[in-house]
Amino acid sequence: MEPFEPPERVKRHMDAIMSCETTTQNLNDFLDGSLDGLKVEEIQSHIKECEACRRLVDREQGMRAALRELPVPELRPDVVRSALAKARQGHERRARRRLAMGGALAAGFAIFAVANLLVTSPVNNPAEVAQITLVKDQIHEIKLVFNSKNDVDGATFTVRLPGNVALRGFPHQQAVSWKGRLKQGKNLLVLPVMATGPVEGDLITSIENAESKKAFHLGIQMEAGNLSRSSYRIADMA
Amino acid sequence: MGNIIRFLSGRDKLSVFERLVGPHVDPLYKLAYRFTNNTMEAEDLVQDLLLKLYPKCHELEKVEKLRPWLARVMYRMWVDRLRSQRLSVVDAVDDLTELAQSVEAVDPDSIPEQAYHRSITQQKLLQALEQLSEDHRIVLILHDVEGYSLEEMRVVLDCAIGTLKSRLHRARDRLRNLLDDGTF
Repeated sequence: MEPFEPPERVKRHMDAIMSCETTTQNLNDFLDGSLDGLKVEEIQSHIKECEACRRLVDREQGMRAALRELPVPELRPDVVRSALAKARQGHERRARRRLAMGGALAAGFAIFAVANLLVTSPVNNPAEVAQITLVKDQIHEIKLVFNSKNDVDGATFTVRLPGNVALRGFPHQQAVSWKGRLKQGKNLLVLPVMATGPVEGDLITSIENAESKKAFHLGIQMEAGNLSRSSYRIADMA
Repeated sequence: MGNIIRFLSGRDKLSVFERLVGPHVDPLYKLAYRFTNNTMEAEDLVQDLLLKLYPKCHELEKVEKLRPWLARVMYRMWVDRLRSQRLSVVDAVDDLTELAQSVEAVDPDSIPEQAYHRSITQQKLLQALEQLSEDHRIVLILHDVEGYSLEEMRVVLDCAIGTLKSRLHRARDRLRNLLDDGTF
């Protein structure tokens, strides 16, 4: 028996139906560009011939274009500015809290540091200002030990930096203040600082409560070369 | 103990943050607006995102593809907000009032015909989008409105590409049906 061969007109009609199905089923991938080359060619040649499928593709493209063109009001520039300012302030507040906590927690450690590492000299008299030298762009930890006769709650610590010296975590700030407490005995305060250019002047650390105020001066200069990463100074609160 | 205060050594944290996140702020705001359909909420979302990310500046530097990563963080923040807002009837009523006011604010005589038709089409489209399920709306917003690739969407939504693709197809079908059935 001879195989059935449909007439040419019926064959074309069947091909068209197949291609309509192919186009409908693959419309998303076709427009997303994620279809393989042969199918793309098939659909492209089909939509040239088939008005219904061409309308389908046009309408889908129109819907996607309309989605892309949905308007959005402009973002006000001060929104970003104020968010960045808030973010920075929040970060610095958290850093200050950590600094205060570090000072309190350091009290126990200070004894160890004094006993083993400290080169000590009282720094109460500005005439006898101790000096340290910083290497440009390197973080240098200045460790100050405060001897306190009594426990002091609610003390205000203030660190004032000379020009071109930055305190880690507080860029662009020449003075940083925070509330903390001193324990009776030795209290260690660690100040990570960095020289960003020629330095002249003193780093002044003051501690103040309702009854008294003490300020300690540390002369800072900048020098090239490798220096010790830490300096220790001790100051008597008495 | 020495590291009492952390910062990115030798650099200004703010400028690093701005360099990393700055180019993405505007697209993120657009995405936030698509999520919320409300300028104030979109601005709030972007502000909160910046506040949340600023302390993690050093982590951002390690992220290979920031755009989907940032969008993912913001999307999660928005989902959390949505959950808490759904508990508030007052908020929902306020939103409807605002929508009604914005529709009334359009004066057909004040805009050229072509722009007017575009505005009507956009309104229909926005209303149809609002009728979609949240899953469908989000994939359409990300892919067809904001141009995120399927790979980027995988990062944002933490979902397999195959699932996203079929969800996207169903979302388009649903949107098309909504626009076709004359509801909008």
